[in-house]
Amino acid sequence: MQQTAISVEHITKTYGTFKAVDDLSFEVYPGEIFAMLGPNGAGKSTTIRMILDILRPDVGNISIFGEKINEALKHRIGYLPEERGLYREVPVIEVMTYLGSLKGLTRPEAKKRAMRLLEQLELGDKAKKKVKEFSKGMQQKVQFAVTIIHEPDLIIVDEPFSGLDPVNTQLIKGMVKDLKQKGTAIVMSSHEMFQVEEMADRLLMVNRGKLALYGGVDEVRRRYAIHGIIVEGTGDWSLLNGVEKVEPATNSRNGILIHLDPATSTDTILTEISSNSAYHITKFEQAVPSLNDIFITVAGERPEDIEAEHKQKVSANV
Amino acid sequence: MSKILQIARREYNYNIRKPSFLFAAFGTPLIIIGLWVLLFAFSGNTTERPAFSRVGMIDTVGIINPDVAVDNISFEIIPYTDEASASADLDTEQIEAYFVLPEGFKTSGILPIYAYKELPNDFQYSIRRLILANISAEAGVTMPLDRILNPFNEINVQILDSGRTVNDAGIVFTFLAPFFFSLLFWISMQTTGNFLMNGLVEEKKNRIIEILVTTTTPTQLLMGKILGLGLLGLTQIGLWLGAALLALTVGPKIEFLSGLGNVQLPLELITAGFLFFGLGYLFNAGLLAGVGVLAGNEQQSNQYSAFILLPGYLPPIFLIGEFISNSNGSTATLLSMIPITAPFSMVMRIGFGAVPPEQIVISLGILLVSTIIVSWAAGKVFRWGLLLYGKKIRIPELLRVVTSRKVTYATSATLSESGKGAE
Repeated sequence: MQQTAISVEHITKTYGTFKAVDDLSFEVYPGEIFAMLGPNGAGKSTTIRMILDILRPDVGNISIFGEKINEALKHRIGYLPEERGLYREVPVIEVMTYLGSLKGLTRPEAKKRAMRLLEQLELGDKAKKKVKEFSKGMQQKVQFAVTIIHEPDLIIVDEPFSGLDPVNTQLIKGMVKDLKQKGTAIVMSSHEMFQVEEMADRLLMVNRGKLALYGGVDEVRRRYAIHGIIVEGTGDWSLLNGVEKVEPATNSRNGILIHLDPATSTDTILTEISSNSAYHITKFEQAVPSLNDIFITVAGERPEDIEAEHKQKVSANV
Repeated sequence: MSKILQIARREYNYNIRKPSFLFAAFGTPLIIIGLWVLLFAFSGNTTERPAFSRVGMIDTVGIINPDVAVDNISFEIIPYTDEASASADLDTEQIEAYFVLPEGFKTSGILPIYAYKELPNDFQYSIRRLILANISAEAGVTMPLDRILNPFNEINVQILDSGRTVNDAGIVFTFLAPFFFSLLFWISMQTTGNFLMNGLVEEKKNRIIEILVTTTTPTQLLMGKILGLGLLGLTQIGLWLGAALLALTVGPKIEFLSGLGNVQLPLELITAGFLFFGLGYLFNAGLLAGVGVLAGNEQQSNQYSAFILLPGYLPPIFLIGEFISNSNGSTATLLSMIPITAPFSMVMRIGFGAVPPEQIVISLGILLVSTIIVSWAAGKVFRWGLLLYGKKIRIPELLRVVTSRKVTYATSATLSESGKGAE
């Protein structure tokens, strides 16, 4: 049986009368990218903080590589918090060396690795510049480098791509994939599901502290697959034979999602459209549900509505 | 241990380069030396005026006896019988000045002097010696002239309890030295205390604390900071003591700093300074860390820091007269027993006079126990408040944290939902 990187068993965390995390269980394995998804306020950060021993669960157990979290294990974990920052008045190389040394590296080794990572992130010539001279995106890259400087076996990154431009997003994604190849367990938490869905092997969807969905990404997609097509073009799609329902496609700008009855195949409908002059199509594709769509199906509410409710609650408490 | 050392090293290296530290470490002695030089520049502006070789004298009252030998007179005295001939010789520069012992001099003491040029610095001294030597000779006094002019040269006060000797010239320095010594320790403690608080504010503001808490324990973080900044404080004191030693070694050889030759910094004062201010630093660092972790910004942290540190030195400074006049009196004794005021007060008392050894031991004991209690309580508040941002904290809430059996990190979420964070 493969050893787990993280094993979470029935954890619950209550703040007063509010259950931030409610009976959550899941496992993360080495060499996989595990997505922890859910709207803001769903309980993702609380769960991560419990994994990292910042908060203690009221009920349940958490083990890291088969052990209860301890000081030695902390050196095997790299953490990129959602709220992050660096010492602004200090040269980047010094900050990285310091944080690397806190992760158990010797100072010369930390400095060597910091330099190598900066070069990998195309920041090698800026090593001696102060953090405050870096753009937000550059700082974000440095923070990612700090997370992996000690070559941890488990990486937990909370909203890893927020604030990054598309080019740097791809750069970081490439580095994450390399780490996965080397056998590192990677937990990516995000409220923007599209950011991680293409990379993740398995996922955990959390809503209002509870497990909403858990499993392999492909398996989940298959489970919630839609028998239908997405088209762009002109014509009254509801008049086609074998159509059950027509609605705007959520993950396509001008697309129409056509739900087909079980007896109608994609080939049949394509033949019908192309042989009928009343229809003109510019795009035709198999309908695949996005994780966002799946979340709505599972939770019965839209993530953005949950987030708005959470935001209102937080501002009322501050 | 290595993490504590890494944190200490970072705190030391980061803060030692700060302009505020460099200013405090190097600026303070430079300002003191600068003030001394300025003082000298203004007060020492007495240029040496050329000496006279011949000075006329008209003695109308017969005080001066030519047979009385008077030493240490820097010019030749030429007697005249009338003012007109002396004045004529002055006009033709036969003499450079003349003075008159006029009728009624014995009662009035008025001595007219005539000259075209400024009188030499020692002119009056020479005339005084001349007149006094003649008066004492006439009265048959055999005492040496120097003793009549200046009955005693120097006072040596033996402080019998401490075995120290305070001489006349150094009496001001002797009383000021313990005060400045305490003040420098205090400035150092305040500088490093502010660094501790502002560092915490910065780490929380930058959110780097989120990474630190997953890498180190709050105890390691707190101990590392206190150790690193403590060493920084010692560096500052070392620099000042170095400057003081240099001033005490070189100073007496320079005329305007000659008073420094009388300054004494006894070993017991230095030892007491390190002991009391070392413990005082730990006591205050605990308080500052406990409160600083809850400060939302630098301005707030400076206010908190002033609130904690001012009571430690304002009472002893305002009551310095009490310390000088009666260093073993009830006020000075009481202040040296209260942990907050003990470092400043006890070190001053030790400097000013002899303190009964048992009082030193009791004061150290109280300070040590208080430091342990404060560190224990501060550790709880520190852990509790490390991840709290911009939240108003109330005293009852803090008391609940301190008296809690188990304390974990509180976050805005834990507080807003439950008002808890400690069990």
